[in-house]
Amino acid sequence: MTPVLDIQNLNVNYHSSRGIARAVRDLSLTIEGGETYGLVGESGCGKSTVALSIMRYLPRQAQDSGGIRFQGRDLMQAPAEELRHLRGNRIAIVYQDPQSSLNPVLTIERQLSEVIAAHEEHSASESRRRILDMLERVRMPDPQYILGRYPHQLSGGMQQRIVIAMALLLRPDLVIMDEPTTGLDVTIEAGVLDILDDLRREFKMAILYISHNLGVIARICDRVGIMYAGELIEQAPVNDIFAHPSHPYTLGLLRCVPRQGLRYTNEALYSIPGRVPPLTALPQGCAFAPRCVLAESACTAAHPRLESTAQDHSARCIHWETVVEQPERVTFTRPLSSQTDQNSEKNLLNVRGLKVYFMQALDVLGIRKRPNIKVVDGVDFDLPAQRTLGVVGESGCGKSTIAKVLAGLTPVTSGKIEFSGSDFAKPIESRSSDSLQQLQMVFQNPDSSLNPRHTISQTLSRPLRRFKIVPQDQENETIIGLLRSVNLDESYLDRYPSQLSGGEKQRVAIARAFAGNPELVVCDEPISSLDVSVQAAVLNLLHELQHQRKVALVFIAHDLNVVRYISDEVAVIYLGRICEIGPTDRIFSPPSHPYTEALMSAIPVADPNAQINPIRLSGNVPSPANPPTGCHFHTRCPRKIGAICETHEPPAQEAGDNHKIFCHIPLDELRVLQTDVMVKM
Amino acid sequence: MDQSLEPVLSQPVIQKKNLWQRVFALRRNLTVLLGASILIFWVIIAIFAPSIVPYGINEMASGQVWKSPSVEHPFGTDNLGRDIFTRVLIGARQMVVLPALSVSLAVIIGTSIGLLSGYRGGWVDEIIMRVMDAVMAFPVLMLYLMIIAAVGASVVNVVIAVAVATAPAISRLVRGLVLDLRSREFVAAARMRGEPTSYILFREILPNAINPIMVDALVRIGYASFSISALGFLGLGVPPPNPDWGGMVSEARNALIITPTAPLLPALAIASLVIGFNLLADGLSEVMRTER
Repeated sequence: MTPVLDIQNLNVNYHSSRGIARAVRDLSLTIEGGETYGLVGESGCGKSTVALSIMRYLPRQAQDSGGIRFQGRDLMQAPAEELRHLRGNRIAIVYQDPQSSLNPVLTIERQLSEVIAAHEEHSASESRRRILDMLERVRMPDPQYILGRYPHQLSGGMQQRIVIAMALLLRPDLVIMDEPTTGLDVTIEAGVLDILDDLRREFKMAILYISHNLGVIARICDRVGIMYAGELIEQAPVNDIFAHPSHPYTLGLLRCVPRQGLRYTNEALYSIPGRVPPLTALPQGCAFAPRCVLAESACTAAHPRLESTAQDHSARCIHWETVVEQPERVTFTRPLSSQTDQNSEKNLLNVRGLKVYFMQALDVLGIRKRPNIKVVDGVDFDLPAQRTLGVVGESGCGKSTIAKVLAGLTPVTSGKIEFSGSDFAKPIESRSSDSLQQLQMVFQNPDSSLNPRHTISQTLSRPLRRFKIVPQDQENETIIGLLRSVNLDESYLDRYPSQLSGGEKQRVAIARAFAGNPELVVCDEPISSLDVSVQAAVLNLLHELQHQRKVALVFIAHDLNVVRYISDEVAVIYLGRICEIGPTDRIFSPPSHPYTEALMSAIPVADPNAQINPIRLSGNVPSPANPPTGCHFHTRCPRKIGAICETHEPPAQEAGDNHKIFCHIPLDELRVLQTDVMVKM
Repeated sequence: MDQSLEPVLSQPVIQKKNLWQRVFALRRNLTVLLGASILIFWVIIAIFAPSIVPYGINEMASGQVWKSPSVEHPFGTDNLGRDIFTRVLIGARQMVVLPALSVSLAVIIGTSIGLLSGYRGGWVDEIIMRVMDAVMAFPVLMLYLMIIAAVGASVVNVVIAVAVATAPAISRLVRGLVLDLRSREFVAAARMRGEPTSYILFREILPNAINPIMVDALVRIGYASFSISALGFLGLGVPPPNPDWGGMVSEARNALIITPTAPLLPALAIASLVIGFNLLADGLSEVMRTER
């Protein structure tokens, strides 16, 4: 039987003023009908280029060679007319950003019916019937109603389901999915993955699933190919990849992700040193050799071939037999900080009743006053010196606003922020120089957190001068020391941010935050825009620096495993309110708030044999302009007990050890309910 | 720090080209090359004009007015019998200097206003921008006429008039750039260090806005040459007997029936200068786009 997709020796080069970038090199893969093939790699590895090449959508400056056959037909030689017939009909593609895939001025019905009309002739009622049927399959609530909506009236998760419905509408034989869930919250992602998993079984189509997230791949794929610097470096059935990785890069990727339950008190995170080589100047021999612990002269001498290591399993590494024997555990050399050495329970930061409301603009005539958006609505927490408070929640829950308020970048509506004895509930312009020095911040986006027109040494010298940390003549030494502390060297001094990778920029940003010897560093999603292999390194670094310099951290992230790894205490936030706060270990074991429980079960686990926890949240985070009454979470809560949830704000229940849960369900009952589920996991 | 955990990252230093190399590399862009060639041509003319020209600027050489082109007068003579070729070449001096000078002044004023307005926001921004809108609401020529009428026609006043009329548009551009840049995280980081507003405006924000400001300024110098010529044409520019291209076209217009070729050279000169600036600006913005 001919495979649905058969790619042989695909090469794609991009021509630019900087030279020829070899985005895809000698890639061969086949996908059978009904099979889901996962293509994994970090950004810039050529994954999306493969997708574009299959669709014949490559930009003009790209040139490809090799063979791409779809059900035996050569797509590379196919005339435009034939491609037009295939696209959307037999081959469909789902992109990462649903917002740019949907036309904002057309209704959902119009957009979906256009797909049918472009390829088949049906009566209006027949086409409508098929659309409704498909919307039901992607579990769209009230499909009739959805048909008349415009894309902006739907949430991101709903939009992506529409795009998926659109792709599947004509029952294509091949669907390419390019990071379809990357932009979504974990809770929404879990729901979309459930749907995809069901549909792929039902429709028996071939899927090329592109992702950087091994957890997602483990969940949904049959076979996996790992790409590095444009090459396929390992290919195997999904279970084999996770059980016997045979390429050091695969192994690295698997170990980089903080496993569930891992804490900084146990071990450092595994990380891959270095960075992906530029595609315009690939190293001799194995492209991964410069970052590989197993590398020896043979690795750089000749380019390794894709060798068969087991049945259906091949790897591009001459050391494939010994890869798995690499030691897994990495330990810090410093003594592990014990949980109990903070006997001076003097709090560095006290936050009481913090409220941040954003005023909505009055409407045109100024007659109707709109309600304020309650972004943060009464939050209390404390943070002892040198400890880490993790803040988690879905997007739109007010996490980043809390960071900005602490930093003084957003005004406080009401409430108290006390930081080592002084009032911090005031804007940054009225804080004293000492106060400014004590609290610094690491931002989310490494691209915009460094001034593109300042060299690295200029960037780092500024806080030293402002806060008069060292005399002028020692400035240079101190900067080099700072660079070394974030694992960079003095060759970076005169570079501009555009010459650095994302991970390197974030290291510099961290060095800048620590340069003024602060007492508290607020980190707003510091690793979420970085590649997996870099995330672990940056997280290790942040933690080492914190302990060396005795700094407290407020660590904001949406990734529960990351927060769990680095935090001493965790606050789970939903719609501007804390649902649960307490010591990390307490938060992650029963009893937990139903929201925490749902967040935990939504994380895709990088293990194909993991049991899937069935808790799924329905719907989306409601608008903070009009939050639900009573418990904010009752509209989505899988454990809602009745009318009391809708009418009364939940009380704080003490679960011991400063662990507070804001829920109407008695703690014992929660514990019983959740222990049941945990056992199954 | 545990060095075994992760080796220190080191990379071969990428040789950064110095400014001169970068400017020289621009010649590969044809648009830049063409625009720059035209402008360099006029600058050279402006510098060496006194030693090239065959006559004095106010020398009534042949005693014949409105002479058609001949060997002695390649582009003819004007209403007083002066050599047009000589006057255009000498006129290049003020046309090279005045537009650049007035736009530089406008850039300084407009950028300062735009930076302040965009960064402060709120009612400061509102008031400043409404005033700018009011200035921009006048047709440009009308504005020139009003200013010149108020302060009188002289070289300095022409420069001031053009600068005042140009600055509001520049302030708008800069304000737009600042609105984007001020929300960047490096500005937040600077505020968290307690940097004074002047540092944030001129060291953090301005360097990131300078490229579009420069390209815009080049286009505006082109327009300014046009405006100054137009003022000259209306008799409100640089007062006679200075050789002014616009004034020359205006005078020659009266003699079109006698010598149709009389306005040719000054008109061509004005056009080539404007085109030169526009080409250079277009080319530069093209290069900046692809360099990103």
